[in-house]
Amino acid sequence: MSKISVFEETLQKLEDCVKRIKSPDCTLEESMELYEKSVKYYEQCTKILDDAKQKLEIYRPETDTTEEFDVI
Amino acid sequence: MKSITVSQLNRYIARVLSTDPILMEVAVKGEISRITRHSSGNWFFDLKDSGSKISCFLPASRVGSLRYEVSEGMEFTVFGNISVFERSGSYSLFVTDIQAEGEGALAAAFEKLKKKLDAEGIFDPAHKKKLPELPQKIGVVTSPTGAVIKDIAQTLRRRAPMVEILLYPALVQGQGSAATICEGIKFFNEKRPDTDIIIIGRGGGSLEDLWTFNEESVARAVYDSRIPVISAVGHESDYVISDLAADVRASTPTAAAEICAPHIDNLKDRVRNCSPAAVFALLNNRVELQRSVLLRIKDGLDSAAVSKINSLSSRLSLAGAELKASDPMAVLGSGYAAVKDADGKWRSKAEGLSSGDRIKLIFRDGSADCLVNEVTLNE
Repeated sequence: MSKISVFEETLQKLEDCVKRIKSPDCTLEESMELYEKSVKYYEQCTKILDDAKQKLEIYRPETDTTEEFDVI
Repeated sequence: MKSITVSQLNRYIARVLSTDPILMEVAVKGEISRITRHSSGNWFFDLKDSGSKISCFLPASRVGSLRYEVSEGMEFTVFGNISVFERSGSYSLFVTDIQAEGEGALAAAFEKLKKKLDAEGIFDPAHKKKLPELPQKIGVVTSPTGAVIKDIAQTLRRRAPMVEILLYPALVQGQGSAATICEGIKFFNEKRPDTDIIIIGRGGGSLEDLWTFNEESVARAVYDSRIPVISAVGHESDYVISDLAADVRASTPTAAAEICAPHIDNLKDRVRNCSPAAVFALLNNRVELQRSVLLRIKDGLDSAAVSKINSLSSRLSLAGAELKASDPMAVLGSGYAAVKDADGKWRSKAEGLSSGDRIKLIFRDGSADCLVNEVTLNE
């Protein structure tokens, strides 16, 4: 799975945790569990964003391959 | 003079005309009229000016590579060579290319194609696809040496470094360029179907420079693309057919990059809203909330207990009052006395008593032991 998909999924889980914690029928016990999970998701999301580095490639129709490309 | 046959004459004329260096390659300006699009795919038409006309033949193999929407009444420059039909003794212009020259002719060709594609629904807003919120792979169809890929790569590097870019190198002007743009769009749809967005584009230029993006084949390739297409051609003020056919038009390549992906800072903000500190604060609020709920319950319990006691005591005094009102002794004050037998039981009837029995009369202020003399029962 690509990094963006992992990020998207993890961010969704993180936001769901917070939403659940806010819900009035969430018990204290459950929210403690959710808190622990959310810390884990938060760290994963932050790492993906901090590590993001652009990938730029060019397609070569003659050889049907791709290679790294630099515009600067 | 020696006579020759008609065939010989026509063959001779054909040889003269077909070997003349000027007639081998001419560019003729004129108005197109009387187009016949034959079922074989070949076109026959006349090219004319105010004083003269010439028959033209455009083979089917060339029709596909025309860069303009051609119709009667439009001014074009027609390229080709003169060829002779020996059988009829006629000659015509064998067309290799048709080009629009001058802004007027280009504008007319633009309007013509726009109208045609519009009628077909190629620009239909209902057909336009939505861009994904968080794209991961972006395909760019443009020149590898132009400013477009540079602008897009730099903008995305700054705003959305997690996005992957794959460049399909294409020609962005001149003969054959439209075909490479179409191939690029097809390439991403067929060989890289996980591409989220395709950007096609080129930098600014004259109407003629931008013409590739006014070609019918490009408009159709954009329309047929399963992957959403952003068209980013020229400057803000340039409008081309591919802009109208695309799902989104961007005024510049930089704008295209900005449109296609959210700024990384927005994502960081979303993550930050769920930071451990923020979640902890939420939890803390919950604990406080629970505490206040508990306090409220306790207060409620207290006041419930108090009111219960109050109500019990008022019930008690009420019962006391009622009891008092129905005290049998209360009646003794007004001339009545009660009777108990020797066993201490209340007697309410004369029946069962015999002379000689001991009874006790209870008065309000005391009692008196008595002996029964005689018992008389009512009839």
